Amino acid sequence: MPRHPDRQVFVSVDWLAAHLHDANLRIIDARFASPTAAQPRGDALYAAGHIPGAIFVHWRQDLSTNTPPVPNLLLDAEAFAAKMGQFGVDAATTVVVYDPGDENWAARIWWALKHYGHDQVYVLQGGAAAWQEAGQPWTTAVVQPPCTTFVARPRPAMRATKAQVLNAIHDPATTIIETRRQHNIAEAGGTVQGAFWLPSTTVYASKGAYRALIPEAELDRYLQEIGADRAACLVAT
Amino acid sequence: MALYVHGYDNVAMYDGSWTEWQQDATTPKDNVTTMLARSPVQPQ
Repeated sequence: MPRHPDRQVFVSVDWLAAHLHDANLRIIDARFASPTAAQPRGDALYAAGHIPGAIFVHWRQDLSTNTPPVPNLLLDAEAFAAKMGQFGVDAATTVVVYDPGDENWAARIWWALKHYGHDQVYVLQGGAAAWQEAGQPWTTAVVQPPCTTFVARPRPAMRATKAQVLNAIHDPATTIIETRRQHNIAEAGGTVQGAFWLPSTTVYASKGAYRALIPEAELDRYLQEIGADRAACLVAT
Repeated sequence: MALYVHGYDNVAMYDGSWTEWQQDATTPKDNVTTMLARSPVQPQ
């Protein structure tokens, strides 16, 4: 598998602290708690304190379909673009997304922006936990970004439809990877037939107050075991 | 995202796995035991 050593997904706490006041920077607080969880909701966490300049974005309420029969799918291009315009994100904007640091919600917004053609998007390494651990500023001040125009340029290859997943089950060139936790899979009535399990709890390892990606060689070992390194296409659920 | 970081560009995400796949009784599914049997052993 060819490597991309220059590929950057994360920015460090130090980088963000140094660029906090850049005019073209938009920081997104993506902290989220399931409605059934005991901890405060993401918007409550934001109201109690956040990185200066950050806006709060709720992946489900702001960036997903909320209509039956299938809620929680990513918004279509037009609706997504309208939201990003409201959030002050356009082609010139560098977006940094953060979550608590031990979850994957920032990654979902990273994926959504990438899917709609915005490459200047990064995830804060270690999230809010690393930021606060470093003693960086924290505020309750709410900013209202100026509205702008976001043009969505979808990359269909980054998203699989149900029909494509159905085809992938019988395609030997495609490897399907299930990333949810066991209890979530059981509650959902099972996984996609033929899927291999590689959950986020394996791919991210604890690093003090937050989690970080496991070393490349370690991930490679898992991927080789399931044939992902030889697959023409991967579908992650 | 982890796959992208590690150099994979051929990844499509299916974000209907939590809802769309579950709601459709006709979609082929494996239970957890079957999935674990074919998957690498991972840390607890």
